[in-house]
Amino acid sequence: MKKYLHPDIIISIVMLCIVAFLYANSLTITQKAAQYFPQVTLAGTAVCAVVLLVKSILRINRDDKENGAEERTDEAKRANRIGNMRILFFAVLIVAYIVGINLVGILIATAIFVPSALYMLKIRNIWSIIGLTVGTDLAIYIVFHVLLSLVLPKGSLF
Amino acid sequence: MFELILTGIHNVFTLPNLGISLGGLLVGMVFGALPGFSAVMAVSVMIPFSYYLRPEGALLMLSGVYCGAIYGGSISAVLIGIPGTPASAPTAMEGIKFTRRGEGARGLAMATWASAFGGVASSVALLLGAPLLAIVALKVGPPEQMMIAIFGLTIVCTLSKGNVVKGLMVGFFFLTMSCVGLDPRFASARFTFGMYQLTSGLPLVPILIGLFSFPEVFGMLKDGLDSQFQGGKVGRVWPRFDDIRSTLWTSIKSALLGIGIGIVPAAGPDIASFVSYNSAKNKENHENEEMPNLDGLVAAETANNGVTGGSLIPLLTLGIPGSSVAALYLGAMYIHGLIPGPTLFTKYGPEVYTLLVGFLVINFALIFVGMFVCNFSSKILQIRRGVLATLIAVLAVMGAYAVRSNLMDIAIMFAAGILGYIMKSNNFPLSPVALSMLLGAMLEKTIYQSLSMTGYSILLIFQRPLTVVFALFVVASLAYPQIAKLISERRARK
Repeated sequence: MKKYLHPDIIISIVMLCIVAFLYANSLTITQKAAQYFPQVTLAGTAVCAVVLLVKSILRINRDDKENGAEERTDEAKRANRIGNMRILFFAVLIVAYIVGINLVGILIATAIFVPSALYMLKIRNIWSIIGLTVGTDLAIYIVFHVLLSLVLPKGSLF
Repeated sequence: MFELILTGIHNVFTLPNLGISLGGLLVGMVFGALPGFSAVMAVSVMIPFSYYLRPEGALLMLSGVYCGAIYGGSISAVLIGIPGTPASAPTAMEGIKFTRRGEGARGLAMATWASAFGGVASSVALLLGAPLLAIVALKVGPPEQMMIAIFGLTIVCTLSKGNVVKGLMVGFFFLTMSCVGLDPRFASARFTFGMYQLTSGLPLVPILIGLFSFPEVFGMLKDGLDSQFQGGKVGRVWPRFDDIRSTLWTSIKSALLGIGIGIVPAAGPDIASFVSYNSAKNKENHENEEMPNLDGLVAAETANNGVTGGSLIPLLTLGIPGSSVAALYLGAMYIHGLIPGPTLFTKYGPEVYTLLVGFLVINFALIFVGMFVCNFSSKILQIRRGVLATLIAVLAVMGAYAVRSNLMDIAIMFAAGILGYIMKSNNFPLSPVALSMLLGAMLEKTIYQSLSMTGYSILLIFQRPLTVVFALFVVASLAYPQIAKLISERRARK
């Protein structure tokens, strides 16, 4: 059986590193009195991270002894893998969308993001894709710009 | 006073004033349902429109917008798990469970009922008890506010059932995150890393939008791409008598809690909904976290609408705006020549009592207008997940941007979304994030104010009776889950 590092162990170690980094940064705050509150909360975070780390290590040892890790079926593993890939692609698309907003503005970025995301998520009806793309852009423009007087981002390229 | 109430009734039930009130309610609901648009924003956006109205009409419209926005947050919270306003975060936690089980209509109906119940109760308190309750509000100072903040934070422990260490870790870490920006006393930059965008702190609303929406979107995509609810129709949104009866006591308690918290300056609907949700969750011993907790949903919604009337009490009687919305009301009242304070009720009796009666009518109307809006909005559950995920992503992006028109907020929102997904996948509770971010600044500021007041002898704050009362609440909040657990174990043994 393959051995995996428990996610809680990784998270608590990462958290301890973040706490150390922030603590070091807190020492650079110009007013000493302004350092106290964040330092106390960082100490609280560190204590919790250490407790979680110890608990997770103890639990792994216990699980190893009991050998009770449940095995998933191949089908469940495949479904899980497909689900994770879908999430990953969608997240990458959103990152591209956010970068796109900075470059070409919200209306053009949305006009590219919506059909791409819909196609990736298996919506193949061309009229649905066109309708949703135009509808979303129109809704953004009318609700946020016309009615709520929000200045929509135009992008650095324009 | 009775004569003034009759004048108020007469003024409210004129066609223009009734239309303005219901129109404001509808607009507020739309604002509240849009993630990123809080009640404060809704009221502030509508203030310019109030210039063209008579004083009583202006106050009625703003009241409609305020109540509608606080309620509207629950629509998106129940249907897609995105809290429209920070006060709807607990509603999102329970409401989405109803939707996942195909009971979205039930969740929406009870959220609407609870909002109307809390709103009506707070209107009655505003109408009848304003001068009396204002006496208590006058005695609330920094030590009491500090105790309220600590009381709010003790909820982290109980909201993290079974994951107390993880809950506390998240709570402490996000208390640190609430320090990002300028420190409240010396304006020293903390954790800004030289970025001017961070000097005003981490944006709360974009973080909450990301934290609560993207884990839902990703979870939705992981489960498949068909529609969320296979039954064809979501069903008619109307509350069941059994549900109302079983949650009546919770509604009454939460309404009282909401009114009480509303009166306290600086404690708003966000704190009320979390405190009330926590007390309702403690009541029921829920083993299965995926099962929706009707009491929790009702408690959160009743309390946050209970705040609406309560928050206007110190404003009208003392001229102290206890919340951001109350401050906007103050501005609107000054524009129309109404000066809040003890003389307001005698000098401008007809206008003030029109507002008080109108507040009650608006909250009665909320249940019917709310059901009408919900019957349309619940159709979104029949949409395919791919479409819904795409639209939620766009809505979340727009919601994050709309708060401060800042592109960086979109990136922060998405980062919070990724963090939320990682946290949720590893059984880290999300609610302490909201609590710590909401209460962190208030806690730090009031600690320093209390220390200054007492000459750095913090124990002196316990000479103040109200501080002692709030401190007892803190102790009770920490002890209650343990005592309840002991009692239930003893009962089980018998």
